Amino acid sequence: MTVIPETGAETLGRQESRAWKKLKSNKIAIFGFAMVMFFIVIAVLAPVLPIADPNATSWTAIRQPPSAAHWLGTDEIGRDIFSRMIWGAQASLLAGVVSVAIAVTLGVPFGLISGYFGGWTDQIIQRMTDALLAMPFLILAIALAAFLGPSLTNAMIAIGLSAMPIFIRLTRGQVLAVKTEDYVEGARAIGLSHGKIIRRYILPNVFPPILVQATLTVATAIIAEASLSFLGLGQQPPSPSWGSMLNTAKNFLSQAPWMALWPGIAIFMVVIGFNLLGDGLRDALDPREN
Amino acid sequence: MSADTIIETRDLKRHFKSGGGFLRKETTIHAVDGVSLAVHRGETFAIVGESGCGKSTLARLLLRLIEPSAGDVIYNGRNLTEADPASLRQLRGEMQFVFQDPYSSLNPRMTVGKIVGEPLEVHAALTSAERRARVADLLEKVGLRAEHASRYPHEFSGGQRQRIGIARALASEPKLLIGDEPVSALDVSVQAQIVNLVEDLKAELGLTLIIIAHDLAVIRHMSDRIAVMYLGEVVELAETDALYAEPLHPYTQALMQAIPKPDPAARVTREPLSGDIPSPANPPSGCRFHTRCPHAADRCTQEKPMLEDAGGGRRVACHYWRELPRPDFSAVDTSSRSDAAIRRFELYRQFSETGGGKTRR
Repeated sequence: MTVIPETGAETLGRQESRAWKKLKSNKIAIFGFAMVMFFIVIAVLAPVLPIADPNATSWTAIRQPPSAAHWLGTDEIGRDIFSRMIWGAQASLLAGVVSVAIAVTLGVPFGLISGYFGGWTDQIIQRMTDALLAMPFLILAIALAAFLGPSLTNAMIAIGLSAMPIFIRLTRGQVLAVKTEDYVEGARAIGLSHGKIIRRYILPNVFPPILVQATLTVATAIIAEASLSFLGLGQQPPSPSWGSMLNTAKNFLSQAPWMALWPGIAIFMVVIGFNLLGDGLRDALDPREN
Repeated sequence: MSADTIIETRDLKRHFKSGGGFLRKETTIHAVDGVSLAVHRGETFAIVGESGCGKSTLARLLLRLIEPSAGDVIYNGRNLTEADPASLRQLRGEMQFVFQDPYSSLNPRMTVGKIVGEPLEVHAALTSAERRARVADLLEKVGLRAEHASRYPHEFSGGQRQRIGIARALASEPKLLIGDEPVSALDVSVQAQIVNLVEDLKAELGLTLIIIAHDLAVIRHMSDRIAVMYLGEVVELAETDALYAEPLHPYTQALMQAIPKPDPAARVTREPLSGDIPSPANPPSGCRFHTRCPHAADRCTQEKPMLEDAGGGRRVACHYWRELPRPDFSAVDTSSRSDAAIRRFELYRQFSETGGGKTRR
């Protein structure tokens, strides 16, 4: 998700290594990176890890607290929470990352065009964004997911489209600020095309806040996937996702608090991880920071 | 158009509209209102005026960085206002711009080498090795070092950044350089360095310069001819020495009287201008200067004076320029610089020639 400004072949390598060096020396960012990698590795390795079947129910072990047999306890129909957490990592990370990627790849170009060219283009894009923003995020996602049909893929598309207007607005606002800088006028004065001005001058200078917003939206997207799967529109039961586990757990908060605790902690940690990594990336890509 | 004219404007206008909305009247700002002037090849042409008089807008209109509302800009016989985007892009290699603020005019996310080399990419077909060599050459020409190419703008001081801006402007080998207050954001000592640099480069490369400024001392030092602007219009146009010795328009006279004289005996005999510059959204009727002019008569409030020939290539827009009292400007007239200033300029020149210049790190 990192966008490195196009700078011509001879300086690209240099700049990349400079950014990478800076990122490596940032301990907090590396910590965030490690957290994210930890969950990604778990999600990928889920099928080969020696753990219980996440969907095997047991009437003799309903809502048991953590024990040697079930490290993180069991849920309301006796499934092992530890293995459901590991299998659920896949759905939740996908829902978080893919839907944000969709939102950014669609929203940022619209925002760039809208802010840079202004006029009628801007009016049309902004009125459409207004229409999308008028609907609450979750309602819009539910409507889109219901329209597309129930599956995890469609849920990710629905969440991505619902999160898109925020990125359009954010990008446009940043573009309006950067557009008035002298260096943009200077780029026109040397005869650069609009495409090159947007790629080299506008995008690199509007990107940092977008990166931060993206890491925050990962959390929203994971939760949104939970809501969709609760309604049967996301991850299809009995396959687990952290969001759907959390959703079920809220009915048993007083009897079995651990059911809510583990998925809650996992979502929190993934979000923190992405956030720290995003902050680190933002600093590493900014030549002014030393 | 005479043969030695490089760029010319004909009744150039730019109006900005603002504030229009539901049940609200739209106001029109007359930023540049009917400017006609011609710049000769190889000269330094200055445009002066107080802030808000439209001089920066005029500079941008010359390059068509903003579109004129009416009128024409003719560069080397070609009408820029009718040029299509492709040929305009090409022509922009010949006309370059130096910005006022060296802190906002360089992309913070590009290296200096990339900033200076970018115009070459647009206007010259060079291999990347040739381009690097040319960038090193340009950096040395403006008093920086070739190895600065790999650094970022924030690592440089204001004066150095302005040098980078000049190197970038020179990369496409322009014939015309327009400076929008190129030194006003810099320290006085650095101003002198940049002024010297620009003058040396002008002589070396045979440039034509158009300098926008409000600093009358800098203008006096640099320019061959001056256009004085007031509220979007040119009120007087003359050779530098003639203008400083004998300003004809009452506004120019007021400007000249405002120059501080480093002489305790020279007590103030001037009548300072009263009031603020009127709003360009609602310019006064008749002569635009009549609200502040000490000599205003009835005719000035009704009839707009045209820019008329005052002999010796001078032009002035005032009904009464022949009859007005001519204040004595001999005190200002003596020398453009004191001996101390000349020595200081010389010192700076040596300093920049030896490749001096610190790097902030």
